[in-house]
Formats: sequence, C-alpha cells, structure tokens
Amino acid sequence: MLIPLLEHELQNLLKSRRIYLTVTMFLLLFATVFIVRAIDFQKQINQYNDDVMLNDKDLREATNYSQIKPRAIQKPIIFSIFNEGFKIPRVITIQYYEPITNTMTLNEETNLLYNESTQLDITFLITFFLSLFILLISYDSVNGEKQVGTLRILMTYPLKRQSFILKKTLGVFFFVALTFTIPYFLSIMGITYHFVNVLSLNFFLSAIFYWFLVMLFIMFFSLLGIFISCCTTNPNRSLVYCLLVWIMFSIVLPISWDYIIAPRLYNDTLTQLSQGYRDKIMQAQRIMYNDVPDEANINLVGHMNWSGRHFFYETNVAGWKATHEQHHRYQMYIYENYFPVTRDAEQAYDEIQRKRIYMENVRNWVFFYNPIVLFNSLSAQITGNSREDLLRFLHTTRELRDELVNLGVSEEWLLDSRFFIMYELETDVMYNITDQYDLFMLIYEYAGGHGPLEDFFNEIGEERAVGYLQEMVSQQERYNMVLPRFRRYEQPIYTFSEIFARILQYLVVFVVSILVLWVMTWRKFLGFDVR
Amino acid sequence: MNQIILVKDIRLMFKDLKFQIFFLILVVLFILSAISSSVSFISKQKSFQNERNRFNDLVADGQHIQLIQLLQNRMLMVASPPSPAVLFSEYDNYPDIINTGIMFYEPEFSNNNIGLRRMFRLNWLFILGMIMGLMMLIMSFEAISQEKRAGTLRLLTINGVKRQSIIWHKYISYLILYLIVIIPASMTSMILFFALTGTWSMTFMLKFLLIILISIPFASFFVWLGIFISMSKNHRNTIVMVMFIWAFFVVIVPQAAIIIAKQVSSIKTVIEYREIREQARYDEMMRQAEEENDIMSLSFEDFFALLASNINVADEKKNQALQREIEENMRQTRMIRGIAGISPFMQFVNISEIVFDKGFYLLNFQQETTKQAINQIKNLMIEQDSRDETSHNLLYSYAYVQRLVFNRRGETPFSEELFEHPHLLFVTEIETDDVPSKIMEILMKLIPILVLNLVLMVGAVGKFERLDIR
Repeated sequence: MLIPLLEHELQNLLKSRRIYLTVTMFLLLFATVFIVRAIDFQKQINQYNDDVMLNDKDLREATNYSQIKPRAIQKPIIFSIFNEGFKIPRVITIQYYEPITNTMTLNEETNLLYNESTQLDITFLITFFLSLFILLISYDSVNGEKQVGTLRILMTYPLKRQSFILKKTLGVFFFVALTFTIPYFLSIMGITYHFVNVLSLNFFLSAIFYWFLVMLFIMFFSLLGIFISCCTTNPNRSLVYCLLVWIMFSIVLPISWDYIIAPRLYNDTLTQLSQGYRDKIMQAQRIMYNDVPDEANINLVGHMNWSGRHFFYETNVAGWKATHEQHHRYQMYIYENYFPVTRDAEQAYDEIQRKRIYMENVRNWVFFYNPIVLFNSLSAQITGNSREDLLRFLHTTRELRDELVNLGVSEEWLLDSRFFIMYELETDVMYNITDQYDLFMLIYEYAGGHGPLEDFFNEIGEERAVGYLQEMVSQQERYNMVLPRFRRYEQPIYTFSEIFARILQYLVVFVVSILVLWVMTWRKFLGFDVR
Repeated sequence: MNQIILVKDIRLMFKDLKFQIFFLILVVLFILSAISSSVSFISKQKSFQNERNRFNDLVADGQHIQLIQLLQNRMLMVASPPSPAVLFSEYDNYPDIINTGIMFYEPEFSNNNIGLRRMFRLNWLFILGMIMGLMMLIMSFEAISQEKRAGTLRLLTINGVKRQSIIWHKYISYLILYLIVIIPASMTSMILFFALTGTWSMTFMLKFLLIILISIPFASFFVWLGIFISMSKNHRNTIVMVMFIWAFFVVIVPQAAIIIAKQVSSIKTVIEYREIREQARYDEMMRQAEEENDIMSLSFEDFFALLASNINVADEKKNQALQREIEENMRQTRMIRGIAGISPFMQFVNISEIVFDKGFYLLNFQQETTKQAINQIKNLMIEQDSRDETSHNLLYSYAYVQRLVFNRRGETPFSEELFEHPHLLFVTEIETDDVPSKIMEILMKLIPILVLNLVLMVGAVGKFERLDIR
C-alpha cells in the first residue's frame, strides 16, 4: 500500500507549478555558486603551486642561513568549494624571532579597505535556501489535502494514519533529496575530472558523509513542514507559521545567541585571555628592545649599514672581534630570554582558540534542535575548514620551526633581518676575493673613502686593520655553512575516524531530534480532525 | 466612501494573523537590537578610549613627540569615533582608524571591531532593510487575490468605486500600516538605546527619524511588488517567487558582488604588494647610485645629506607604489558597491552611510583629512625646524634616522625639541560634505528606487485595470 501511495505523492508533486519554480531556482543557484567557487579554487591552486616553486627556489639557491625563509604551505582544501568554513591562512613564513600565530603574514588577497568575507557557498545554499525550499513545498501537505477533500477519501481506506504521514514525509524527502543529489554528484564528478592532482581518499569519504548530513537535514525539515501543516487546518496560516519558524531558526535565534547572550557569557574571559596574549607580546618586545643588558647591547658596538651601493662600518667603538662577540652575546641573550616568552605567547594564543572552540561546542549544544546551526558546524568539521584545523596547522608549523632550529641552531638563526645583510655581504666579499689587500681596498672603496672606517684605519694603523681583516678571512668557515636538509612541509589532515569521533555526539543529537520530531508529527496527526 | 474603504482595509489588516505575528516579532527585534547595539557601542567606546589613553600616555611621556621620534614612528591617527549610528549598523567592514607616518601618506588601516563576523547583525539595518522587505511582501502578496476569492472585489466595483482608487487605497493602507508598525517600535528602541548608553543627542535623533523617512520608498517598492504579484492566478505559487526575490536582493546580490568583483578587478596578494613597494624603492636607489660619480669629492656632511635626500626620494617612490595599491583596493571596493547597488537593500545602505557619516562614504574623506593633516604637520615641523639651529636638516635627517642609525646613545644630529602641537596627531573630526550637498546626494541616490516604484506602480495599476474580477 505504501509504494503506490508514494508514487501518487511524487506524481502530485511533479504536477505542481510551485515545485518547478523552486527546483529551477535552486538548480540555478547551485550551478552559479558551484562555478564561481570552482574558479576561485583553481586560483588557489595556482597560487599554491607558485608558493611551492618559490619556496623550493629559495631553498635551492640559498648559500647561507640568512637567505633561507622556509615557509609552511598549506594545500588548498578542495572541499572549500562546498564549505568555506573557518578561514585558514595558506602560507606561514617561519620567522624564528616571532611567535607563530594566525596573525602572521598571509599570502592572501585581502582588500585593505573592505573586509567582508563571503559565505556564499553550497553549505549556505543548503542552510538558507534548501530549508526554505522544503518548508515551502511541505507547508500545505496535510491541511491542503483536507481543503481539497482528498484526505477524507484517503482515510476511508484501510490505511493507518502513521503510514499516511510516513508516505507524505518520504514523498517530500525523496523529491528534495533527488533535487539535491543529482547536481551534487554531478559536481563531484566535475571536481574529480578537473582537479585530479589534489584528490585524496578523504575527499570522497567527506563527500559521502556530507551528502549523508544533507539527507538528515532534508529529513528534519520535511518533517517540520508536515508537523506545522498538521497544527492548523488553514494552509495560509501554516504558511505564515512556516516562514516564522524559518526566520527564527535561520536568523533570529542564532543572532540573538551570538550578539546578546554569548557576549555576556564569554566576553570577560575572552578579553582576559587576549589581554594575556597581548601582555606576552609586549613582554617579548620589551625583552627584545628595552631590557637588553649593556654587555649584549649591539647598539653599543658598530654595525655595517648598507644602502644601495654604499655601506659604512662604524666599528670605532670596539673593533671587529669585540663587535662579533657582542653580537654573539646578544643572540644568546635573545635565545635565552626572548624565545621562551614567544613560546608562552603561542600558548596564550592557543588558549584563546581553545576557548573559542569550546564556545562553538556550547553553541552546538544550545541549538541541538536547530539543524541549521548544527549543519554549519558539522560540515565545517567534515570538510577540514574548522578552527581545529587551524590549530593543527599552527602546531605543525611550530614543530617544523623547532626541527629547523634543532638542526643547526646558530646565532644567525636568531638575527633580525636587518642584521642579516652584514653577513651576506661579508660572505660575498670573501667568496670572491682571495687577496687580502684587494679585500681591504674593496671595503675601503665601498665606504667611499670617507667616514668612520677611514678614521678607524687611520687610528689603529693600516697594519692592524689588515690584521682584523685577516681574522675575518680566517673565520671564513664560520660563514660557509652547510645547509641542513629541509623537508617540504606537508599539511597533516585529520583522518576520517578522528573527525567522526569528534562529531559523533552531535550526530546522535541530530538523529534523536529527527526521531522526536517524527513522534511528535505522528501524535499530532493522530489527533488531526480529517472531517 | 473612499475613507470607508481605507478604514476597512486597515481594519482587515489589523485582524490578519500575519500582521499580528510580524508586529510582535518586530517589536521584540527592535528592543533586542537596542540592547545588543548598546553592548557593542559601549565596548567600542571603551576600545576607542583605550586608544586615546594610549596616545595621551605617549604624549605625556614626551619621548614620543620629540621630533626625531615623531619622524620614526607612525604617530598620526585619523579615527572616526564610535557614534550612536551603531544602532543602525556597525559599518565594520571599513577601517575605523588610519595610522600613518607624518612625512608621507603611508597608511595602515586598523579596525577595532574585528570579532564574530556573521552574515547578519542584529540592528536597524537588519530590521528595516531585510525583515521589513520580507514583511511587506508577505503582507501584500495576496492583497488582491484575497478580496477576489472572498468576492468583495466584485461588490466594490458594483458600488461604483473606481478600480484605480481600490488599488491606491490598498497601497496607502499598507504604507500607513508600515508607519504604524515602525514608528512606535523604532522610537522605543531608540530611547532604550539612548538610555542604556547614556548618550543623547538631538542630531542623532533627527538622523534616526530621517532614516525612517528614507525607508518609506523602499517599503513602498516591496508593497508595489507584492500587489503586482498578488494579481497572478495562483497565489500560493507566488509566495515562492516572493521569497526568492527577497533572498535575491538581500543575500545573493551583495554576496555575489563580492565574488564577481574579486574575479573581475582582482588585487594582488599582500606579499606581492610588499615586494612591489620594496622594489620601487630599491630601483630608485640603484638608479641614483649609478648617476653619482664624484661622491669622493664631497665632504662627509654633504655626502650624508645627498644620501639622505636620495633615500627620501626613494621612499617617495615607494609610497607612490603604495598609493597605486590603495587605488586598486578602492577600485575593487567601488566595483563591489556598484554591482551590489542593483539591490534596493544595498541602495538603502549607501544612503544610510551618507546620513550617518560612516562606511565607504567616510573613507574618501578620511583619507583626504589624513593627507591634509600630514601637510599641516610637515609645514609646522619645517617652521619649527627653521627656528632651531641644531636641527637644520629635518627632511634629510628623516631618511638618516630611518635607515642609517640605530638609536645611538647620546649622539643625535637632531634637535631634542618637542613637537609643539601634539593634539594635531590624533584627529577625530573628519570633514565631510555640508548639509545641502549631502541632501542633494541622498536625493540623487533615491532616484533609482523612485523610478522602480514608478515602474511597478504603472505596471500594477495597468494590470489591475485589465484584471478579470468575475
């Protein structure tokens, strides 16, 4: 009995003009969003390839540590076509003297003047439009039949009310599911065809799981529409109720939580945490610039400063050897005092992120009855665009940094980029020139024959100056470094079982709420006056 | 007779369940918006005050307004202070504060309120722009078809009421309804907001009233649209159409505008821009280095002056590159706004920006003000420089400070004098257009929506004339 009824229901749906209108609208939206997102993703892949090439080139051509700027590069997440989720930086340039957090430089196209992030992806389409679309299909499925009079005739058949409701629900469900599934799998096929290089098994698993979530979502809303249509006998009234419920679910309730309740609960803790983070950063800056003891203060000895073609030595205070020793002491000071504080700052940053993850989980539990909120957060987890993924990216980047530091921690690692130039030039000079006098003349010429260097030479005598230079040459090996072996950063991905374990609780809640809604609808229809 | 029809229409609408539910929702939303906006206003004010305190501390320190330090640091701040306009919209897509050095316009845009970024915020813009459009559509999408079904339309025409006057009364009664709903709720919200934040100003009250006045043509657009749709045969199909039209204007167009503009008028990545800037500077330095031949014959001081001036020129080149970068950003933003302008909702946003002196409208003026402030400060500094013998070379010294010296103790070739006008460094008053030209601009921006109204009106009236009401 059920199958002929289902067929009848589907046929009825197919005859309605309203359905064609909505399906056409949905398909148009789906196609537009998908194409735009796919183009965007292609752009991301191109940028990723450029970044990798640049990184490899840098590593290949580097002759000393100061020229190496290793980058942690993240592969673009293919599922961002379906769910943009939490925006994760794509490239982090590892700088040894700064904490690695989300605030690092990004290789992104960000408009300075207008920072609106778009959310127009397939997930938005589903949560915002598909829910509306289902409610618009199903708002008059029971009381509409009553108005036409067919409900009374149906009830004269030996048919349980339960199976009537089941048939109604399945009819709407199959119809909407089909409308979603066909373009969805077509687009998955398109992706498989076009982006072969970046595919993985995880993608297909995620794709199937995402589809499963959408099915649950559709089930919930078809039941909700039918439930509302059982509540009142007037279809116009149930339409208004449906729109009301939709506005509440998709806009009003989430907004009131985010802007009224959540700030009251968490703002103090968050301010405290971010204040702690800022304090750590300030402390680090104080250590770097203000609290340097005299024996490590490089401002007290000379620098070689370079601009364009000219560079100047100002070694009149201490001389080469003392200068080098002072620099060395400064770097040791930085390593011992500055580094631990930056690690603390990283910890503080992570704490903020963990608090935010906690907030998001609480939000999920508060909105356990609201599939729009649940679907948003669950799909972000599945597609690998959640805040957890950001944390993991940061963690692995820090691991890479630590690995590099451990490979050959040397003073040069810890230098500010402004000072690198000194070593670069010296090594250049020393690689190219063998005669010490040439070297001297070169530096002399570079200095323009003027300035402190001349005074210095005059002061200590040419012989002694050449002695210093000889010392420099003897230390040549110090600059002629053996580069450590670098491995290219590879983005770690959460395995599917990990993701599943994380979202299982919400999934159970989702299913339970669907069952509860089903029981409610069924009980409601038992008391529905079909006369 | 006409009055009777009008009163009847309004009474019918009052009895409508849709109206009652929507009225309830709107009142609740308006009150909630006042509460949430007051929270965000207070936190914004706090962070602005922090910024100001930080600045005052720096000034009191004295170190930071020494000329030499001023040249080194980014000390000039042009900020638009938080105002009760928050109740209407946060406008937080745009920077609040421009930090820049005092020699060149090299801005850093900072935004105090980057926090939760969601598509919808709870404020008047959300209620008046989004929910109100939907409400007017849903209220009016069966205006004619309901009367037709009930048979009252036939009776009215028999009684000799003109068709035109029927449709006009419908329209006017919906507008009156709109005002009845909006005015008390919004006034409550406004008073609540002023009470909660402890700020009251006549100007802002007038501005809020003005924005309600401006919202009328937008509401009327949706009413005409609803009436037009209500004349179709199957009214239940039309509701789908209505919902999609609304979603198209409110969500799809603004969002799609961003995506399209990013593809069409694309900007470079942050790193690429930085490289271009540095390259421009480096190229200029290299060019100068090739030109110089007889630097050997210069005295030490002259040599430094020459070098420093060269660096100055090179910095200017760098800043020109930065200017181009900002222009590209502006172009993209303008394109986003242009495409999004198709939607009346976004037009409403544009007009509100002019009313409240915020957002993209302010951004141009903010940049202009910053440039003016730089010029003013530079002149003052040169003037001060001319009075002091020890700081004979301020402009050149700048470059020298920037590139060639790391704060050596006790030996600076510059004056230790303080900058005499530290209050010029924190600008909060940004000059915008005067009132008449603002009104002109608002009227110009209202033209498209008025034309749309007119077209829909002509269409609806014409269609109703030919409508089969049997």
